[in-house]
Amino acid sequence: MNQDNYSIKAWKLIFIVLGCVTMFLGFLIAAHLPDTPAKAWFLNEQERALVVERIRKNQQGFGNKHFKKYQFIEAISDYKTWLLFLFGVSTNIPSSGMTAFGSILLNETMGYSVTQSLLMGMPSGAVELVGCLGLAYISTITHSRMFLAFIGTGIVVLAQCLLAFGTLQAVQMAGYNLYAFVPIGLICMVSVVASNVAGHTKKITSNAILFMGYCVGSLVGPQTFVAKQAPQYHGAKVAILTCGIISWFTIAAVWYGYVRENKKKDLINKEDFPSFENHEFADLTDKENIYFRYQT
Amino acid sequence: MSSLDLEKTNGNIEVSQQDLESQNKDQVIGTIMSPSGKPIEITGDVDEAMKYAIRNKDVHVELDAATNKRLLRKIDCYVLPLMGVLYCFQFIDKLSNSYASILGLRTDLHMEGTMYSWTSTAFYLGYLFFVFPASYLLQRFPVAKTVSVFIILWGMILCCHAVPEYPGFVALRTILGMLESCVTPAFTIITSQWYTQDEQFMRVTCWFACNGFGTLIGGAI
Repeated sequence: MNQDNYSIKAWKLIFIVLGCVTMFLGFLIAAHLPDTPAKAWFLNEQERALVVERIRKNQQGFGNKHFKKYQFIEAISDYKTWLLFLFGVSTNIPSSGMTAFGSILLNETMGYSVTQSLLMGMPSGAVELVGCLGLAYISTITHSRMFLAFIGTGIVVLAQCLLAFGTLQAVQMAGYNLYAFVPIGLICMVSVVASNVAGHTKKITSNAILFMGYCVGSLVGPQTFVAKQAPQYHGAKVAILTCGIISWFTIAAVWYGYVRENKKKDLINKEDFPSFENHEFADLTDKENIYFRYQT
Repeated sequence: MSSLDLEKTNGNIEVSQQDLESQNKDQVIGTIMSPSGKPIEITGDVDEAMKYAIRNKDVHVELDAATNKRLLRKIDCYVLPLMGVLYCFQFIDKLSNSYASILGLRTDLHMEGTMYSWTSTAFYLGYLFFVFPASYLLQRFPVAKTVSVFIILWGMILCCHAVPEYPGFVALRTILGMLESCVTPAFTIITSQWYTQDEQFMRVTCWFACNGFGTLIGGAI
């Protein structure tokens, strides 16, 4: 008999090993992560009580188990939800294109050898890690996540310009590595859903719409690289830069929207409203709750 | 709403333990007003955290800065690492497809032309159409248990990738996209359950940036 009956192909082995590790992680999560902090095995009775008090100022709790139609409607009629969608599409058209064609850009467009291309791709992973964590860390001091996401996405737009218009190899390379800041925008928007969209049904709806945009971007992105335009891929470069500017604009628009709505809420005289004990945990939406303030 | 109605409700509204246990969840406890002046009826269908808040009121829990810091550190140590590892693996799993393509996947399954890029398209189509149903399931059932079921199934599907011919492979990628679509919504919910608003940006970055580890590890291999 031939050898194939006894040994398994390398690519099959990759999938089987990864699949087993993933299953193991699934069991680990089931055993370790509690469904709500109040059920955490690693907290004592007093800490469980404190976790609830800690998040009280969020004006949100652990979640609500029922799909509330009115919150779904509020989510899809809130302009900010569609800004999230637009952001998802516009950030991920360039991202997915770059993921699929990144090494081809290095190899064909910038003229590095195949081995060089693989090595040249590595620093961008480090830039991503250090850059994003750095910006997020600054935000814990300055309390201004939208500003830092705006700066981070600004760097990304700059990187896209360098990639599109740079004629020197070194300039294009700088653009390629600076582009690694790109996740900061999506991270910011995910954290915006966590912080600024209250009402559990409204929150899951907005999050789903953001990631639907992300998927649309992923589907469209690789199509912008047209084989006929190789090796310069002018069409893709134009698409990347245009989308980058749109995503930059949507971050600014969301930011402006939150600042404006906070100002409106500041004008409300809260004494005119009936008091409501534990209103933080009533599953009110951000629009319904007079005490809710958007994080900017 | 007339001013007379408002006066009627202007007392102190409070959701009690009985309201939460009541069979009739639609029973109106009181009416409040939104900032835009829209009346909102409060029922027993509130947040899961309400019952703990009611219980806390009797025992008078105080949260000082030192305790808060210690508790935050503990939460960071227990909650974040596993989320990061899972996110890293989600990314490695995306890379695995391209490694497999170099190691003979394409020739063994006789993929030509755009057939390979369809495997990635199928993944995102599955993701796109399932992200909303997945979010609904995460709301309806306990978050961590639900996401772990999805992850275990995802692992099984990944193992199955070793078996089929091309059409089956594309079908598996679609199912994989469906299963992975629940991870980020679940992590968003978990982050908002554990952390205060000003802590959330940093925490989302911590688990999300583990993608970068995936790129580094992938590059090193």
